[in-house]
Amino acid sequence: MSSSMRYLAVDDDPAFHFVLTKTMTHLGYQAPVCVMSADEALAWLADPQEHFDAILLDIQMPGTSGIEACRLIRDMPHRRDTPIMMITTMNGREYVDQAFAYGATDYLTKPINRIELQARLGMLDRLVKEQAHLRSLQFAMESMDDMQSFGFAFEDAVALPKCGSLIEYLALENHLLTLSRLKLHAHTALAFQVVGSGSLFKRLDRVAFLDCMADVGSAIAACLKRQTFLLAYAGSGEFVAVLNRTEPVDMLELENELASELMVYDAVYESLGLPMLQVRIGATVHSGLFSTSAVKTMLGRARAAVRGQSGYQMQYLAG
Amino acid sequence: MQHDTRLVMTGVLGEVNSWAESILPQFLDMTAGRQIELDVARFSLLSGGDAFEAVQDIGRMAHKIAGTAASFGFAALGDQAQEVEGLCLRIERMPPAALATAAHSEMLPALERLMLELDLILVTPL
Repeated sequence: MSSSMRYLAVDDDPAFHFVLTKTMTHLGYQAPVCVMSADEALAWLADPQEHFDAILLDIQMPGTSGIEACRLIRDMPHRRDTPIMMITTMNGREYVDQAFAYGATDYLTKPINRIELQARLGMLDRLVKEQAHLRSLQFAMESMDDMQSFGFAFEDAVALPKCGSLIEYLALENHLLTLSRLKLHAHTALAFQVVGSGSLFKRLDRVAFLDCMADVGSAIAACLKRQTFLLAYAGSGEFVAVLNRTEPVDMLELENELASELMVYDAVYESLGLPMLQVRIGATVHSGLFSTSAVKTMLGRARAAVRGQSGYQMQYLAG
Repeated sequence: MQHDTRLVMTGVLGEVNSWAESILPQFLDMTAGRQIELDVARFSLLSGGDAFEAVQDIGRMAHKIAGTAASFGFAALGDQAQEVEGLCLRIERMPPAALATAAHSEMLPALERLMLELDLILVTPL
């Protein structure tokens, strides 16, 4: 429960405002600031002085849709990390994919269920706290000499700076959880691992490590741009991309393209005395139609593949 | 518009939060307004008006009803609104001729069932 969190709720239905406000206050949250249109919300959000911890955004609204609003919000530098939870009826679930691609964090289905809302808001609370923690760490790192004593763990799936093509790993998991088993089966997961990322993590301060991962993330995204993809940093120097299975990946071409993209950074890394960036690419994996815990299993198997675990031998090395 | 909600609430809101009772009159007022708008769009469709526009209007109203009805204990109304919303979303993507045909043959019967559900909660005899 987080009574201090300030939410902006955007929905053109005043009845939904009633329901949401009452449910949230019963759960111990502050009543959200409710607005009736995306344009009204964008006007509020354009003001950097106006603080909102998270945004609840209806997808289907007259005028500017929630999807478009999500994109416009993410274009605002001061709202880049603000969690956005899309709200939709069951009929609108087909639009959720697009919302995640534009940077949505999670989604909630109307009519809202108190228990589900509580769980989703709890998740947003944790995300907001983690982001605040990360910001304070970055501030501390920028202002103190002993940088190595601050930071996050190597395994943490932290948000990468200045890397617009990536979504957060939690958002990637949330997105996949929205898919039916059949639809999940139509996707494939592919993991990338920065070679020597463990030693980079030890050598670099946390900000520099994040910058390094952001460079790799941008390079991977550039190689995948001809396809429909979602890409997230998973921690431990690993990235996971989710691709449409109907657009098969030519692994050798990807390897070559990624090597070219990474070469751009060679001179800079060399001048800093750092090793050239090399990225290992795992085999593509997909979800079994009848497996349990399909999402975690699919992402986990992709990561196991890039580590050479679980019998996956086919790997590619770029850089 | 005022509603006596005593009968509506009996047995319907048993499992719904007490706050829902407190704002039920507002919900019913809004829903009554939406029923009128649905009726206007239905009349427009039946009298040869722009079928695309009518389907869009009906879809928008159904979307709103589908989003909140169950929160007030009206699950059947929410389900029926959801069906109409889904049909409207599908039909409005059709070419004009097919759209008009589907609006009459598929959407209107579903809309009739939605109107009946609305009557059940809005016109309960006292």
